[in-house]
Amino acid sequence: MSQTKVINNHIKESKSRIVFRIINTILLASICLIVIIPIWNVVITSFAEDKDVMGGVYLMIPKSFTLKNYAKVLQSGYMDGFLNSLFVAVSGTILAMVVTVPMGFVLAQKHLVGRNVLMKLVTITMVFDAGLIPFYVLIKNLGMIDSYLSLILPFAVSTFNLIIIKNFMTSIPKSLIESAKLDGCNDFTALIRIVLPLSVPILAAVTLFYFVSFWNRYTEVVMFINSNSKYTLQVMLRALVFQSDGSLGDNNIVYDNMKMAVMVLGMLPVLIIYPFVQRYFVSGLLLGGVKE
Amino acid sequence: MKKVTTMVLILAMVVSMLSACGKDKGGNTSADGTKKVELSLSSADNTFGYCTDADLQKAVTKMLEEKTGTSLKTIIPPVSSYNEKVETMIAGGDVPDIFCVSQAMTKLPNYIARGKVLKLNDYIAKSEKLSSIPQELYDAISVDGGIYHIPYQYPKVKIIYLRKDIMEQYGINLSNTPTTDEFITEMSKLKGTGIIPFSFPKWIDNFQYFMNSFDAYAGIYQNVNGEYVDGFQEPQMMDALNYLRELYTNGIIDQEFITTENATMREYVYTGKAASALDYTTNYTNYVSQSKAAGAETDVYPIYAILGPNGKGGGLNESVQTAFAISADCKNPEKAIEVLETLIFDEEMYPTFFNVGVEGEHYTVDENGFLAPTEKAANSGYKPTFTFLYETFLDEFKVNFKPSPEIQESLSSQNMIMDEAQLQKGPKYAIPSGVSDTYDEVAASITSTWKEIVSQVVLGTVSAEEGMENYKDFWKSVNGDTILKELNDK
Repeated sequence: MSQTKVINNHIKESKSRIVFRIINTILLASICLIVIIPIWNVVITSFAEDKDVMGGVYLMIPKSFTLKNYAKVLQSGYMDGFLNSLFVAVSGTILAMVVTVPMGFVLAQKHLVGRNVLMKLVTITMVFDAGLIPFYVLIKNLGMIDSYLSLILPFAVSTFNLIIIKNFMTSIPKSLIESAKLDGCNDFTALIRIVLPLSVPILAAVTLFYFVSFWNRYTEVVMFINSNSKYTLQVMLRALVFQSDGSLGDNNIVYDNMKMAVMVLGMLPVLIIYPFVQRYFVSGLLLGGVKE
Repeated sequence: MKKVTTMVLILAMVVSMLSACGKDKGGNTSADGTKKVELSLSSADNTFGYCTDADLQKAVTKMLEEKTGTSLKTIIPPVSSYNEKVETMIAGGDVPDIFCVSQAMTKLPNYIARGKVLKLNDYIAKSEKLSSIPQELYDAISVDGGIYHIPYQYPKVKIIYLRKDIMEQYGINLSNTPTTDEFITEMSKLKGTGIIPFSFPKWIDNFQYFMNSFDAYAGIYQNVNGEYVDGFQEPQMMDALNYLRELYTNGIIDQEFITTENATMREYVYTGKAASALDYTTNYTNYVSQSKAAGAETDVYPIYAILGPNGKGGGLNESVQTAFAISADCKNPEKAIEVLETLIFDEEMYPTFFNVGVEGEHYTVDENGFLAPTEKAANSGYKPTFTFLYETFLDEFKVNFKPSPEIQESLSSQNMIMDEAQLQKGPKYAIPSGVSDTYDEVAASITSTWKEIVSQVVLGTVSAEEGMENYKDFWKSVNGDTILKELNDK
């Protein structure tokens, strides 16, 4: 029934196959354009002069080129915010991985007593959220207001990431761990020497997840941090953009070109990291969904 | 073993890094060794010298501390998140001793009903300075005669600004207070020119400017007989809605207003893409300077009110939008009052706090006597606007610089516009909280419902009659008549 023929050692595709490929290509190209056009607009607007972006103009072709927007953002305390964000993101990610990985390993052990109850207790936090005010009261009562601890400790375990790691570790053959134990490993050394080296893809993916979530954190920083010198990059950049939303009648104007420069610089660190972990990222996600 | 050691070291490093997240240490004793009064003060980052740099904000705080003999713990969230932050702090039982309340007419009654803010009548009576603030600004949000806020500037008013170059080019002939018919007739001259006659932001409550022309008021208010009525169900509202629809169908109001931000609305006028916009009186200088920056320089013409069939009309009165309040838990309210007196009435502190910052830190004065931002300030979003010169209760300021000749010229025009707009502003009413439980429960949905219906009528989704009928159904569903009864029986 195949409509594909072999003529002179060349595979000739059927008409329906060709039509399918054309439609497929058009559809995928359209999706690519939908993704690329806004990013293109953001980038070229960030290099444009004020007069070229006034009046709600949507730039597709660069009209001017200036680096002054980037210079302004970089001089506006960007580095202070960047270092604060880096501190929160790096220390938060390290702590999160240190806590999440052993927890995932433990929950992956089928013989663990109360494993189902523990899993349910963990999973329930994905569904129910107490809300901002109880969260604020908790942080206040723990004495963590205006401390970076409030941005790191409560987010040390992400249930989603935990489940991904746990599922992956469940898929590692039990025989490998048993062999390691026969060679003198205990549970901890088996985790370090056997499980972790096998889990590099998933660890890379989850590390990126954690890093991005700490990097992009905004609401908690505004709510729990009172000292401006401790503000992270996202808060500083947003403040720069929304310093004047016009609602208070002030006339401190920030045009779209400046806002776009802020966006580009806000995304930059994650964009730089992403290509290096991308190969792990895709395979890690696929592996995380597999159970033995 | 090596890897285990590495992990332990990493963990130790993290713990030590976290423990290093110390708090600022500062002296809280005065020069004579006595302990300073400690107070917390919260205001958005469009105050404290109007820039985002923490060191510069501290310089402003230091000046205020020195003038008041206090030790201030400042909380300066970004202006875009200020309301959310303050709401969370208040709900979490962490009310700052002194805090700025934005959207005060909506939010303050709620704080009063919850017992979060201090009644200030006695403190105001004792203070010569605070007693000099116009009583109408206190009355605007008082509850049963109780005053819980300290306003720091005159009410904000919005009027229409019309580009003079477009007026001349297309022969638009309007007075500062045209009639509703004249407005439509003259603005219709821009049809087919590609210019938006009237750019309008997505904020539906700004349509009150046109409702004023018909003596209509969207919301519950107390009429001349002292009786609470629902303005949206009064017959004149029908006329106002039909007029708004007419403006839209005639292409006078921007056809895409429903998604237009304030900033975009302004940019349309700066660039000449639109002929006019509804904006704050304090933004006059901005229209002059930014149209020049956009390469379409022009002056703008103020339309204070559009007069309806009965000669009624008025600018959009936003009344007391922002004010300061003191926490009900404040341990030293006398000192908090002193801090507010200094902020609002000190000739040096007011411009420093609300706008220009500290000389030598935020700016220097050049050889011509003009203000020159320091590099640090210029890179932190600092842009002195000089509007503080005319918004405040102060007549004199202790500043060592003078505005540039261009700014001085436009400020002089702006000053006249602001004075005239104050005289011609429309009404603004506040409903006290804690009087009608039914109202307190549904106040937000009443507002959102009439806004939705107004937008539907203007866009033509429903007719004015249908819109009013829909509103009546909603009114019944929330026991609207009970609200009026509870308010009138108080």
